[in-house]
Amino acid sequence: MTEITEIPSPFCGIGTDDLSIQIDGTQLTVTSNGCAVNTPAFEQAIGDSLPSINGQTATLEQAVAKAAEILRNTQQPVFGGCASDVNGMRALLALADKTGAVVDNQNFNITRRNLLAMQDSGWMNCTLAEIKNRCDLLLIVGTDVEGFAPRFFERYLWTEHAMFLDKPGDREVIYLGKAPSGSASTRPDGKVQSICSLVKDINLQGNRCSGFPLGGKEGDQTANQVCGWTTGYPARVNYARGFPEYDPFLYDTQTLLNNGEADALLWLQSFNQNSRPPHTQVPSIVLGRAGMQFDQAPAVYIPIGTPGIDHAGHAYRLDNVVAIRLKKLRDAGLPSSADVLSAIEHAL
Amino acid sequence: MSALTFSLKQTPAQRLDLSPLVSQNLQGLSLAEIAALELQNGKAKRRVDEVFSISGDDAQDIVFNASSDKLDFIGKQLDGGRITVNGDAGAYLGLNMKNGAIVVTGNSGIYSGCEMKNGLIEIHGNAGDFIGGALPGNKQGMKGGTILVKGNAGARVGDHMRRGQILIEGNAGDYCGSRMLAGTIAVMGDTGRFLGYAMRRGTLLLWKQPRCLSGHVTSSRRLVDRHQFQS
Amino acid sequence: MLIKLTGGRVYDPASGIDGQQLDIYVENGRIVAPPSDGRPVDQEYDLRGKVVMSGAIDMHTHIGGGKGNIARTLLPEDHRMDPVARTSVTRSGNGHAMPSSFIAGYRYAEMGYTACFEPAVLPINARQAHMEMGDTPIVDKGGYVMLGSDDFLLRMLTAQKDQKAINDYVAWTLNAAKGIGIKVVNAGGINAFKFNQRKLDLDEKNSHYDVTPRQILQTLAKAVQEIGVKHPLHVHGCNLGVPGNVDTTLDTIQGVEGLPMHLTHIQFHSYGTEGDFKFSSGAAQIAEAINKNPNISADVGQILFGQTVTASGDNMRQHANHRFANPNKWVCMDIECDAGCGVVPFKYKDQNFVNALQWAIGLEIFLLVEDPWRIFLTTDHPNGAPFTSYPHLIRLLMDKSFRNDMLATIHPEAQKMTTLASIDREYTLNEIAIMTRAGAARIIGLQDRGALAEGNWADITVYTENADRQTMFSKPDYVFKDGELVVRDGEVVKVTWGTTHIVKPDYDLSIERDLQHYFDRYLTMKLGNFKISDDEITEDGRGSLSVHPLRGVA
Ligand SMILES: [Zn+2]
Repeated sequence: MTEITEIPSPFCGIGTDDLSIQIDGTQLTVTSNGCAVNTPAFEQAIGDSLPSINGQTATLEQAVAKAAEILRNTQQPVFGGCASDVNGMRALLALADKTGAVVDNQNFNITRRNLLAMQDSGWMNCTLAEIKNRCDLLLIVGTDVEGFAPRFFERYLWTEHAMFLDKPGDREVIYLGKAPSGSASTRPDGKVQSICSLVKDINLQGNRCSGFPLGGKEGDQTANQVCGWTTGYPARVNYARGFPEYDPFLYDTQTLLNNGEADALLWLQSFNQNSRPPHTQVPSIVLGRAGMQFDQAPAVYIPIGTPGIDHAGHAYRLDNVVAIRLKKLRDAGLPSSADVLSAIEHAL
Repeated sequence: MSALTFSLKQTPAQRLDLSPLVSQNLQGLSLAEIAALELQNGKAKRRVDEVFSISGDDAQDIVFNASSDKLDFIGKQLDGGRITVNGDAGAYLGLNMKNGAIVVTGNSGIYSGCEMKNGLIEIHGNAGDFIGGALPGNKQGMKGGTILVKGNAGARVGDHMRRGQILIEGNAGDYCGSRMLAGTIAVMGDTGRFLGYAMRRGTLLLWKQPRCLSGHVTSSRRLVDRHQFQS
Repeated sequence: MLIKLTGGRVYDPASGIDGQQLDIYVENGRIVAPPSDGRPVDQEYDLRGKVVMSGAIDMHTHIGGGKGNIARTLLPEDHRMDPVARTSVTRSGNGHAMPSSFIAGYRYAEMGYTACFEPAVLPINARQAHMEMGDTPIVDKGGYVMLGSDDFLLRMLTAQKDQKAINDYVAWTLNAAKGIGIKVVNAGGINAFKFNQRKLDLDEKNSHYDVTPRQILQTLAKAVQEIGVKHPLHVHGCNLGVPGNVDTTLDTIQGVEGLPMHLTHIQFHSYGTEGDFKFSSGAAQIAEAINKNPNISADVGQILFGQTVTASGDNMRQHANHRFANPNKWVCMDIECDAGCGVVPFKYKDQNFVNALQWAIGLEIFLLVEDPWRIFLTTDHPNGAPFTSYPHLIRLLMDKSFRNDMLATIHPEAQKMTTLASIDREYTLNEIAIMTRAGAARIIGLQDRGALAEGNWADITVYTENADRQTMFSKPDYVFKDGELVVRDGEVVKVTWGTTHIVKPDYDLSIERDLQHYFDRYLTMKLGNFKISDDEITEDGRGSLSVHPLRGVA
């Protein structure tokens, strides 16, 4: 049994990197600085970790060969989920480039309003350490920060020290509006752009003020960043023409499945066992965190390791500037998503 | 001379890019040459005659029969001539259109008349979001011409619109006239939330009292202060 | 495999070769002596009538790091116009102002470049810079690590820590962020902007820290010198783009008191306030100062007309310049008590007086600085123009009549305000080779690149002689990277992966005690998680590290 300290988490998005974890074989126990998001994400048991083809146990080689076979004869494959580390996204984009696939991050529809506002007028934002050390007034607009990232306040607001504030405890926090009762997607898109221009206006009127978009868990920012430098666009692109094209609406995984445009689905989720790929009749290749359960067995299921647990890697924090170095904590014999995706690419 | 007619043999599973099939490209081509043109369809490139049966000879009068919402970029950069779409049209109908006329008997998808410069688009059914708008990242939507929608229009009618006119006989969705700089949008039916959001100039003509003006304080104030309002 | 490049006219200024016809032998990636044992050559390229140089080196180009990716995300419309399809050997992507990383690597190689250096690596964003550069094929890469607005340094200066402690911090940061040099951007200004200061002159104090830019520059220039880093302190001066900043720049040159200093994109810092528009060329004064001060080098940051995007760590100046954003959208960020960034799209227009004069000022500097070993060919990609415009820029420098033809087309008032028409100088091929190869390798501190000497890595570019220098430099016949043919007739034929050039200066480990305390108290990451390990760059099997010697160390 060993204990590792200063462990970064890819799960919460806020770059928590002070976890201590006890390792007993392949079982992890968070011994300090856990939270409602990170502790279960680290501690969940591996569960079934054998690849399968149509529900029947297969070897990794067989599963990879089958995945390649499915992708080889497609008209419009779709790569959804995109919940992975930097190397996973790199390999996914390489495979998509070769197979003419759509690449679509699972939370793109939520990020979309931010991205469209940014692509229209830009913004003035900051990162977590700026909040921690400089923020004397935090205006929270229509979101539940604590539910999103339980340790946000402890780590960045109610801190013992702040470089430029005498009493960090005296910061003001103002909540504007509350989380909408319906789904987040019904929130007006326009709000984002209004906030961005409000922030810019304050800076023009002689004060300093920054925005801070809250969002990006399970590799969302990682997907957008890697897709950004690889294609020029955030993570909703289509390689069908032999080069990447961006369409924030048409290349939605669910839309493509609903319309019958997609004829194969590759779905990557290396963080969350409880996630499920979208229901579909088209052949599905699922690269999922080991232990994932299905209502309907995918054509190919390849259990993969989790970045920051089963292999080293890089993940972006929600502030989009800081990439954290994820550690390998155990060896459960699980392949990384990058290894599997590269193997599929070579088997094409 | 009879209309150059493309009848869809079978609705394609993947989206089909029809941008090559505009009058200025087809003028002077033989039927055999037209048949051999290639269209992007998902990952594949397909010959025109693989997808359509072709008849007629007047490239200034193009007809798509049995059209579907998978047929994108109809009339892209059209520079004169007439396109009739019997059925639905997909996304980006008349994108960057410079002149001529497009009539759709059914519905059209998102971004109809996007960044069009001149000409007429007539949609007999409903139109999707962003009609007369600007592509993501672009700051200038429709710059001229007319879009007429007999049914309802989706959200963000005339986003970033610079000039021209859009008439919606039915209802318009949320954010109608958003970020509009000039031009005219007329809506005979209901309008949704955030009417005239971040609108700078231009005219909204409404037949009905807007359902919601307040949702967004700054925009509604601007609207009342600066914009001509008729009801 | 033994390769022979036969009979080309060789321009290798580092070896004193100026257009002589020579054979070059390559084996195992390096340039070797002619075989004495009479071994047969495995492959021979007949280069008679061709011009041979070592691979070009861009010593200042923004190819990796967060602000570049912000620029990419901000400008989908720019990518839509320049899609690049995949081929049997290359990946797809998009080009123009801020190309996707793969396309940047291919296009550099296709112009005969074999190494590129990212000049604004924020320590906290260094991982991203290395990851993007890690996805930039063929070319070698490296980065200059940004200091000068980080709160840790300013706290040290305020506390009047001794130079030794600062040296340790600088050396530690270079190791942690894996850089080859140190860069300062608007010394202290990015920090002052966070305290709501909107400008900061060379001798103006940061309102919180009581520290001036002059102090920061002197301290860091001394640190760079004392820890033995060969690349001089790389300085993006105060008051970028402000009319009258020529005086600031001259002061900056004096203020460094003879220490080595590289002034980057100096064109943007060479503006006077004369004339009807209160905007004039300070190029002559700047060139004179560079000519007189052998400790000073500069790259130009030439602007060329057209659409581009400016991406800089200087969020103070970028925020001030946002009113020129075209299209009208821009991003500014305050980053991690470390630095900041600003991304503002720009369209330089030849009929705009200021832009036209900026164009002329850059060319004046190129032509008036006498020593080609101390002036470097850059557009500060993408800030002055995308790097793909280099062949055009080379023609402007080498062809006076072409230059004057272009001059005749710009804003007439700008024509009146420049001495360009009266400058006869035309750069020679040897001078171009100095500026883009030998000089660049020397100023960066690369030990075995930038020269065609035996033992060096075989980064070699072969051009067909052409009086139209733009055509000549646009499309090399052959480019060899580490001895492998990667480009033929201006197109990538093989994709290889370049190395990452770094230095590893020594430091006293005790600096980590202070840093540990500071990280735990104020930052958002553990010190141990901040430091980039070697395997982060090499673990993918493509990347590698090349550690270069320090000054005074063999
Ligand atoms: Zn620069």
